[in-house]
Formats: sequence, structure tokens, C-alpha cells
Amino acid sequence: MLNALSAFTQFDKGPSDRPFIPPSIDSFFLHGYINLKVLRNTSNFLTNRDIRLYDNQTIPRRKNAFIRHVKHLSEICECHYQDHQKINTEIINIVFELYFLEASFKQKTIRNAETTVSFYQKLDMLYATYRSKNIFKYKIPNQNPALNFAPKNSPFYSNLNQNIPLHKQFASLAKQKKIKQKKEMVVLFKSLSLSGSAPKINTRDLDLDNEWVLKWGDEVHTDILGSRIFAALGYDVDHPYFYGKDKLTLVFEEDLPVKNASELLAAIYNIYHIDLSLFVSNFGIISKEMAAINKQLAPFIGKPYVRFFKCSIEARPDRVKRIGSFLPFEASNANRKALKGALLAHHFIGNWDTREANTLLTTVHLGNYKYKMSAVFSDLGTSLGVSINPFNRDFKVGLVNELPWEVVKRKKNKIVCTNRINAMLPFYKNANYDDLLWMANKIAKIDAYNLRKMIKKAHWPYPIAVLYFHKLASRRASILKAFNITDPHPIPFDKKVNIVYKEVEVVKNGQLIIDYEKKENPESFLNKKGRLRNYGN
Amino acid sequence: MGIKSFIILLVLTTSFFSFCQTEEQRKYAIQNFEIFKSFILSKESNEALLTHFHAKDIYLDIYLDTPSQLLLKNNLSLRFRKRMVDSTNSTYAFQLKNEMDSINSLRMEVEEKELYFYYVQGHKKWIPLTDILDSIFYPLENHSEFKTTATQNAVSMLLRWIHFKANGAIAPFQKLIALGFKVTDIQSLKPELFGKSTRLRSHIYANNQSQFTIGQNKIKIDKLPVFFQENRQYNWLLESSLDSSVFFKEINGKILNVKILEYEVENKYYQKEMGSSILYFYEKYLMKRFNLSWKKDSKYKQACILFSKL
Repeated sequence: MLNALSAFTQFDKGPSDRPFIPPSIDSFFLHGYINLKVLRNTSNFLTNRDIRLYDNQTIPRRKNAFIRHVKHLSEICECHYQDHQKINTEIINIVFELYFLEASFKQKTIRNAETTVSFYQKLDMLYATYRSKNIFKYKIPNQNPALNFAPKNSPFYSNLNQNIPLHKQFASLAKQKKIKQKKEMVVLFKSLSLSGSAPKINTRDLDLDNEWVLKWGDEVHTDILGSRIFAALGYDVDHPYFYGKDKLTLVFEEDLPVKNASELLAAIYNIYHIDLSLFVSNFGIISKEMAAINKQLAPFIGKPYVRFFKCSIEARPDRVKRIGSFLPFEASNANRKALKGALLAHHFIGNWDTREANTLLTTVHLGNYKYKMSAVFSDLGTSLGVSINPFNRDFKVGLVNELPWEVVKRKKNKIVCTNRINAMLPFYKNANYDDLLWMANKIAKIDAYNLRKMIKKAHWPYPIAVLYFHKLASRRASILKAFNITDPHPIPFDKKVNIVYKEVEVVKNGQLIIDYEKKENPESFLNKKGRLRNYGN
Repeated sequence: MGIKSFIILLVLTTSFFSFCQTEEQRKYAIQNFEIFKSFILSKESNEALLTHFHAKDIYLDIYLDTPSQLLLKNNLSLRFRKRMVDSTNSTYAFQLKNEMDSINSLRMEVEEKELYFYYVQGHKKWIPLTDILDSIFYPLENHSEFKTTATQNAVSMLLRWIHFKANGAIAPFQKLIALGFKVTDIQSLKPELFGKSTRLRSHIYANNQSQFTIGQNKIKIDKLPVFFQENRQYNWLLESSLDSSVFFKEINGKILNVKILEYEVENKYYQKEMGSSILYFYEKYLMKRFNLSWKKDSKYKQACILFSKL
């Protein structure tokens, strides 16, 4: 018979180990059996392309692999129904997954209708930012809580394979998703992007199967490190990669709305009001000589191209179907330990943008028509030193001087976390000492070697990378000290570090003191003017 | 025309092509089948476009309709299809198509591809839907008796599956409901006729030396036929098939058959307008050389018309 391929191998049971069926999925069951009508409402909504509207908004296109997966799950339930069998754990898990897919898909439909962040949403973010400064205080219990209740594998969190070093967890996830990133990339222009505030476009891989989002600006380093640290803590993430000077070639083909570098610059300026020319290292027409050096360019001789001083690309693999958010406001998620614990991970990397929009539900095709559902912490680049300017409604990330040396303190019988976030999602609101302690123990496992390796992938200029290493080691130490955890891998750091690089004094007393290599880094590591003020240029 | 058929027709005209696959194809009647067949099997080219014969497939079909032939009356056809690539490899699909209203119109196709994960509840055990289809296809495949206990049982199990799934997540059924059919109409669907086709398939393409210069087609690598995966310099433009089909229907207790021969060319180029021009270019050559003529009825409709004349 059919095998259950449900990704919901576990929904949190809580310390009492009692199964918890949230009210939202109760309607799928009738007197202990499957309610076929409700099940079919869901499976039809998710698979019928003739259902075009939800809440008067246009439903996004349902991809074939997504439809196939839903039908497969639904069929298992339908067979169970015809067998007149009572529901069991497998069926509850499948129904849970179907419910999540439906709710997330509906959420995406609504979100797609919001093209811009409204004034009130911005006000909400500002309010949350200022409020969060004083909110993260946790009473230390008299007795240390038992640490034996750790989340089991679920779509929201995976216990790591101990044989894979922490810094390689990100690559391990990427391999599962068949992401093939090369040292030198050639991508094809696909379309402009209208979402988000940082400049980006959609591109195709040369295999035409996979896609990449090409990004510029202040998140091209931070996103890389943030995602790798979250992966090392057991979470699924997006897959961004940094590309330095001339390491990525963007090729323009005919019959597309943007045909060359100057049209790209104009389009980006139109959408984001950012002068992308500062990021362009060279452009022109692909020659035979270029193709001789990089064979990937051979089919594109005679076509326009552009290269950059720096950029990042985020994978959009064909194997991963992105749905909507992973439903932070869903009651069954509010008390998931793995999600509550993620709050401390955000504190650790100093992430600011914790909105629902940066959570993502995906289905990952594992091959042979096997799928798993996975919740992704997306867009972790608004981190590692954030400056917010409410008067200009602007913000800037990756400002190493803005990243405090410590993030968690112990004050009398309380733990106080000092990072600010712009959205207090229910599971962050519900986080308690126990949840943070669990995460603190995971952060403790990151040693100097792993931390250095992950920072290296972000490709900051050397002195800035070193400063980040000292700061993150210090922030890690502050977490461990506050939670009274004996550090299994102490990482030496110096809050007054001085770095002289190539005979130039770059870091003094733990502070970046010069706008380092401004031409190659037009977004600047010092200037607080962000994307809404053209990075101060 | 009854009021029901009229309402369905009204919905059909407005929502045929919404949210379904469409394909641009042309169908041709052939004057001399053997001469044309030898052209298809050869590697002959017209200097601009090249052909590559790559497969001889066998297709077995069960066409469904309501007792009052509501699908035929609404220019639709619905079939279970088994495609036999060789003696060991076969695929199954459940397809809903519409008729072309002119010789160059687009054709809707709604397909349920993954039939292998559907099961039908049998006596004390679950039977794969594809096994049931195989039992019905057996006489077509083996030229044996149509009305056996095994095929009758298989048909009744298939009818049970259709009845249960009528308002389920089955793409052709979802489309029929969107087109205005009732669940009870779908539940009344039953096998109307059976078909067996031998299809000679060819790729039509351009290469670097070809006089036909056109930008490279944009198709994902995994969607490219092996021939083009191995020859990346070739530009896949059209796909053609030469079909020799026999259809079977029970009329007054007797199994009667009709034969249909036709050639079909389908646009594969990513830019529809350019693809149409290529199709036109190729068609002009074929018509001149082989005296082909246009056809627009589906094989199902042609067979129904032929059976009605018997």
C-alpha cells in the first residue's frame, strides 16, 4: 500500500508527552474518522487551478510538484477513509501537513496583494523595535529546568547529524536541495523583482532548471553568515552565496524587457532608487576571449553582460517549492520549543527583521516523488549591526560598530537580552528561560574553528571579518555566562582589538575607524545611510 | 440542444483555456501513408529543418463519455491512456482535451499524470488503478476477446473509482466541474470506445549549418528529449507524430472497428508567434511535397462520426 511520506514526523507533544491536536485541524475529523468533505475542500483548493481567487485576491500559480505532493498525501487519507479506519498518528500528521499547506498558501495569496509595506506596518515595526529593547527579561527559576526535553525532528527544526561539522550544516542542507553553486557563476537575466527594499533581480541558472535571486547592498555579507549560523543551530534557511569582484557574470538575452547593463541600472533606480552603477565593475559584450577563459560563457558570445564588485545570489532550486509563511500566528506553533528557542539565535546574530514575511514554508523534493515539508528562517541579513533611522524611514545593516559586544546579561535573578527586533511573533512572546537555555546550549557548541569558517564564507574584507569574529565570540560568551553554562570551547576575544592591515590602521580599540575600501564596498561598513538613502552615495 | 448543454457550452467558451495547458498543433490527412511513412523514418531534411525519428510508441486508450454523450456534444474528449515505449516501459495518464475550432487554434489539455498512486478498493484488497486499466487494455494489447469476466470486473471497478472521485482532486474532473458539469454527470461517465494507435515520433530541429536561423529554444534540461540533451547545439522546434489508429466500439452486441490515419505536428518553441511561423514554414513544405491536407477533429470525434455511419 501507499507509504506515508509526511514530513510531520512530530508535532510538539510538550513535556507531558500528551498528543496535541490543535483545534484548527479538528474539523478534518468526524467521530474519530476522516471527514471526506473537509479533506476534499482542502485538496481541491490546493490542486485545482480553476480556483483562482481567495478572499478576492488572485491565488499564486500552483506548481506541478506541489500539486503532485498534495494529491499523494490526500490519496493516503482517502484510502484510509474508504477502509473505514479510525484516525491514527500517521493520518493526523498528514492532515496537519495539508492544513499547513492550505493555510500558508492562503497567507501567501493575501501577502502577494500587499505590494508595499504600509505606513501602519512601518509604525508597527518601529513600535516593536523600541518596545523590544526592554521586553526580553526572563526570571531564572530556582531549580535548573531539566534539559532532557529537546525538540525532536520536525519541519521546524532538525537535530543535527553529529558527523557533519557545524560549519558544513548549511552545505549539507544545500546538497539535499540539489543547489549547485560554482566558484564563478554565470546567470541569465530573467525578470525584475518588485518586492523588498534592497535591490535584487531574478535570474536563471544555465541549466534553466534552477533560479537565483541576485542581490546587492548591505546584506550581501550578513545574510551569508546569518543563514549559516541558523543552519548550524538546526534550522532550515535560504541559501545565499557571496560573489566578489567579477566572480559573477549576468548575461542579458534578447526578447526580455531588460537588455543590457544600462537598462538594468535604470530599472533598478526606478524600483529601488539606488544607483547600481557603484556596484558595477565592468560591462560590455561577451567576447571569444572571455569565453576562452570561462567556458560557461561560450554559448553567449556577442550577448551583453555585466559584472560587479560584489553581490550575492540566493538559490531558488527547482526542488524547493516556496509556499507562504510558516504560520507564526497558528496556535499550534505558539508553543513550539524550537521556534521559541530561535529567539536567542536572533539575539546572537543581532537580527532585527523578525516579521512573519521572513518565515517561509517549503516542500522539498527528495527524489523519487518523496517530499518533506520544511520551515525556513528567511532573510537573516538584517543583522550583525543594525542602525535604524525612523525620521528617514531608513535602516542599515552589517555595521560592525553597531553590533554590541554583549547581547545577554544576568541581572540579579533575571536574564536580560538586549537585541531589538521589529516583530514580536507569538512564539517569541511565549519564549521562556527554559527555551532560551536550550538554545544557549546549542550556541555553546559553536567553537572557534566553526565560527571562523562560517565568517569566512561571508567574504568580508579581512580586518572586518576579524572584528566580527571577536564580536561574535564575545556575544557567545555573554550568552553562556548569563545562562551559567561552562563553555565547552572557550573562544578568546579582545574587546579592545587593534588591527593594522596592509600598513593601515583599520580597527582601533575594537572599533572600525575607516570607511574601508569604499570603491569596492560602495554600501560602506561605516556610513549609517541605508538603502533608502542610496547608502550615503 | 438542451438547456443543460447550452449552459455548459456557454461556460466552455469563456473558460476553456484558463489555467490549463494548451498546445499549438496541426493535424493532417495523408494521401499515401506508405510514402509518407518512409519519409518519416528517413533522416531527410528540407535544408532548413531536420527531422530525427526517435520512437515508435503504442498507445492504448479508453475514451469515456456520459450515456447522453455530453462530452462529445461539448467538443470534449476524456481518456485513460497507456503509452508503451517498449515491452517493459509504459506510462499512464488521464487526459481531458477539447476540439480545435479552427485548423490553427490552440488545444486545451488537462492531464492527471500520476495515476500510479491511485488505488481502487477491491474485494479485501486494494488494487492499483493502473492494474485495472491494464485488465481493460488486455484485449487491445493481445487482440483477444473484449468481453471477458476479467475485463467486465475491471470496468466495474473503474466505474466505482470514477463515482467516488467525481468531486475529488482529479484534474480532468476538476476541470469538468469548472466548465459547468455536475458531479452526477461525472459519476455517470463510462467507457464509450477503445483505441489502439501506433505512433512514429520525430523531432524537428535546426542546427548550426541549417539555413533556418533562430534563437535557441528555452526548455529546461530535464524537459529536453535525450537527443537534444546529448546534442546541445541542435535547436528543438517542433515535434511530429504519424499515427495509425484503430478504434473499437460495441454496437448492438458486436465489437466494430474503424481505422484513422493522421499526421500531427506540435509547436515546441518557447515564443508562440515564432513557433507558429516555423510550423507554417514546415507545413508549406509538407503540403507541397506530400499533398497533405488539414484536419481539425480529434481522433475521438472522427471515430464517433465514423461509427455513426456504420
